[in-house]
Amino acid sequence: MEMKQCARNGHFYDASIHSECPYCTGAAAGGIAPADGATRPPTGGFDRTYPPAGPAIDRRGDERTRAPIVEKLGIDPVVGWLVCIDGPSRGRDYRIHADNNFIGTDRKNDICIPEDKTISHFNHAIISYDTKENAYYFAHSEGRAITRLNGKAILTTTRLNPYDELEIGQTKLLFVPFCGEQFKWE
Amino acid sequence: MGVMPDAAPAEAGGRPETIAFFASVWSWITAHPLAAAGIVLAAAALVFLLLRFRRKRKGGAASSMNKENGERADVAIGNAHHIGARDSQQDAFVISDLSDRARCRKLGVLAVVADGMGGLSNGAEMSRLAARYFYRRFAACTEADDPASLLLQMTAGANDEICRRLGPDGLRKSGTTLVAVLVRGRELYWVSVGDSRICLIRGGAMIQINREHTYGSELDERAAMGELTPEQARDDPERKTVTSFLGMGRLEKIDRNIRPLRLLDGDRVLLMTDGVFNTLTDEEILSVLDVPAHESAAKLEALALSRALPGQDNLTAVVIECIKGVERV
Repeated sequence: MEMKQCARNGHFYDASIHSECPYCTGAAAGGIAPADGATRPPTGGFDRTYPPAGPAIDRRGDERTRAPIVEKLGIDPVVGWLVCIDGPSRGRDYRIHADNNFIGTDRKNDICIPEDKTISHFNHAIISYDTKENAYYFAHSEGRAITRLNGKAILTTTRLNPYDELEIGQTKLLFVPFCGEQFKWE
Repeated sequence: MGVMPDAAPAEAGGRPETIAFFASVWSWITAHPLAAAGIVLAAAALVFLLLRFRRKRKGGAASSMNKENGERADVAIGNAHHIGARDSQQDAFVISDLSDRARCRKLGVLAVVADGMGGLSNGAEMSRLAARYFYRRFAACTEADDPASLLLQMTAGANDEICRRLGPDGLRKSGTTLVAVLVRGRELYWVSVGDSRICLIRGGAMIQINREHTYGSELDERAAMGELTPEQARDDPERKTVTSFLGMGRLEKIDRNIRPLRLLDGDRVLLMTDGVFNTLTDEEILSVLDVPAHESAAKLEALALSRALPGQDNLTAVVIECIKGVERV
């Protein structure tokens, strides 16, 4: 065996067998693989190196502690929306799910508003839907800027009414409930 | 002292004492201003000398260690690289040029293994791009580059290059894992993004030194903390999803060491893609690592292929063996 290092990528190869680097030319790479595709099943007993298909970070978000409603219904249904009516994200809507929804600029929040730099990264405020009482609540959490409801600073958890206006940083959000007297996830 | 009537008087009692102490110190300073200034200066000088001494000692040790290593340290390297039973080879690897011994002594030896992911030939291109970037950057580096930050810069640079190549719409659709080691003297620096492995083999045992960036390893951590049952963690279908890789935009995670890992004569460092460690157990891998590096790599490849698994993934391994330096320049 006469080991030689190729000049391009530093691969070591046996110069007594190959005249040039078999890895760079692809000669060795394809060398011993099954020649006819017919004998090879299209998918083997092996998982491919997983393609980074789904945004892995978001998936982790889904895998958080499961909400009771998910356990009960097997789904994580939408219970309402926030619609941005003023601020950098004007025109965008955000889904609200059951229980607590954390609002912040980081993607790991349930409701993520990355465009507004005056909103804190994590858990600036919380909007909640209580499946038992069929009611919505809004509270300031760990955010730097004061959170307002219909123009007034809120310091405690406050029950929400349809079309209440929430103000977080420079963002104004209109609250649009889905559940109420007419409908409830069961 | 008897029963304290309440907290306030006790607190009030402590204060005048402190004030009295500072008052007496102050009156002494005003009475002897020169002596006071002398004391302050002496204290400052002492602190300065102590810091200087510490720095010198630290630096001195490092340089003498390097010198000692430079005389003794030598590595032998072997590599294995095979397409397996796949249609394309999406793995890539590079090893820095070993022909210039003097340069190797000064700057060390770099080895990189990357496992491309994503559609058709794209993964192959990304892994090559990353490996080539490391190769070029290392060829242009100087002694002034700190190995740990050099590896980090190379990782960031390779990621930037790949993300540029993919464009904003191509991010996360394809990419590559990457493990790289830089062995300078007898000091090992490493960096890892994704689910490839770096292992240290010492005294007949093998340990993995990087943490894989897979959803599975996160689940295992959560299981260890009691958030999940071991079964929930083990049976999750998404276990193998890679959570950090070059080509995802901003890197979610990078594993690396800041202080070097000290290698001993006879140690081996193994870099490999999942095509190796999914096919072979640690024991099987260890069993072929008792011969010189290039033979080890060849045996590793042969052993994995001997399984003739129908879906055998691309496999790539680099074995770095710390041998006692025989050549002295």
